[in-house]
Amino acid sequence: MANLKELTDKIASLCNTQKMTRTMKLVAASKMRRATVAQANASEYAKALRQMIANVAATSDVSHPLLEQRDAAGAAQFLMIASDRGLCGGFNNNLFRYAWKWTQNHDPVFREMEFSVCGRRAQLFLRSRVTDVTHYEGATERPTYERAAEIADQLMDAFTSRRVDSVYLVFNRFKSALVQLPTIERLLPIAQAPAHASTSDGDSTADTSTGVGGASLFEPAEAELLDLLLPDAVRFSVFNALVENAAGEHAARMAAMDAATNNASDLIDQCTLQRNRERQAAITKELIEIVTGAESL
Amino acid sequence: MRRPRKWRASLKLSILTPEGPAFQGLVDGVVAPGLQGSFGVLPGHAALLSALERGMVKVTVNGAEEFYLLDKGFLEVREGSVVILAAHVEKVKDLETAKRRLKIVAESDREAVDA
Repeated sequence: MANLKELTDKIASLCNTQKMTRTMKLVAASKMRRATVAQANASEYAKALRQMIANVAATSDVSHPLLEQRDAAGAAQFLMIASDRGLCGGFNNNLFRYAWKWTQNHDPVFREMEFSVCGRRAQLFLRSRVTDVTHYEGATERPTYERAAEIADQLMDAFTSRRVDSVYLVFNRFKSALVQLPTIERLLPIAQAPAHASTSDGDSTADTSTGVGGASLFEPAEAELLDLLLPDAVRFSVFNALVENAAGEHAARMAAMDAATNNASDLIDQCTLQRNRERQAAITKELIEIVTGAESL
Repeated sequence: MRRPRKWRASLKLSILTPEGPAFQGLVDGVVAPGLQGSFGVLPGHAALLSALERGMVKVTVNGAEEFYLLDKGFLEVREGSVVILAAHVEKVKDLETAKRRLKIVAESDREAVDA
């Protein structure tokens, strides 16, 4: 009899858990929808910004402090972006494992590595491995451009003041609701390649070459414009990484909670079957007792 | 005889921020606060790339005027389309409000410098 009671309690508690995971899944789904809209908006801006930089870079010899290549084995700074909260499957751990391996096996070996993080999970991961971690709190849940710009400005300061020789972004790229790809991207010095029109898609390059009257007017001159555009591009890259991370986090949580809900319903089925068997056994036993009792009279 | 080139009657304007587009559509003209002074863009304008300072963008749509405030940005004109990029854009309902807001911001800036 005790077993029957235990099973009933277990089923009740499983039902509660399932209710919770299902709710979390729904919440994550609606947050993900909002986050993917933000990501789509950001990509439109990215396209326009890249085009502008390409136009300026195409007409002038590009040289800028943020483009300066330095010792590849010098001091490197990493900005690791992860979620604040867990319960999102392997989302954070995949990224950490990938990034940690990458930093340890990088060739040439970095002379020095500095870490800064967005998101509590990343901080928890690095706390036991690295002595000094700068944590930008509250940036990942709902990324805002202001906050991203703040972080980017600090990274640019570190680079231009020659405290570090390169800055890397570590984050999960949002491929689709099902796929998030751990990514390491060099933020500084800015890679020269995307500054040329050749990397953007075919039709936009055609646009620039056949532009009315050839060369554009620049106001102010190219060098000054670049001086304004490049920091903006860096700020935007950080913002973009935050947005991708947010979308990925919600997608990963949705998938994890969906799996949890399914597992809970499997367990409930199993337990219910067992409970019914148990109950039937108890009834049969009682019947036998009654029958044998009647017979013995 | 060659036919005269068809006059493009309107401009395609998009005002974009990292957090989403603030305006997208066909307009008759745009006035923007360039770094070296305010300037206007009408259909047929030559290709241009300009940095913008904090100020007001005036958009003319079907004869009606709309005002947007922005805090630094860039404007590009290319083949009948204008793209404005800015970190932060805000729509205001009329010229008076726009001027008032800009004045408040300018004053708070001055105070920050004094302090």
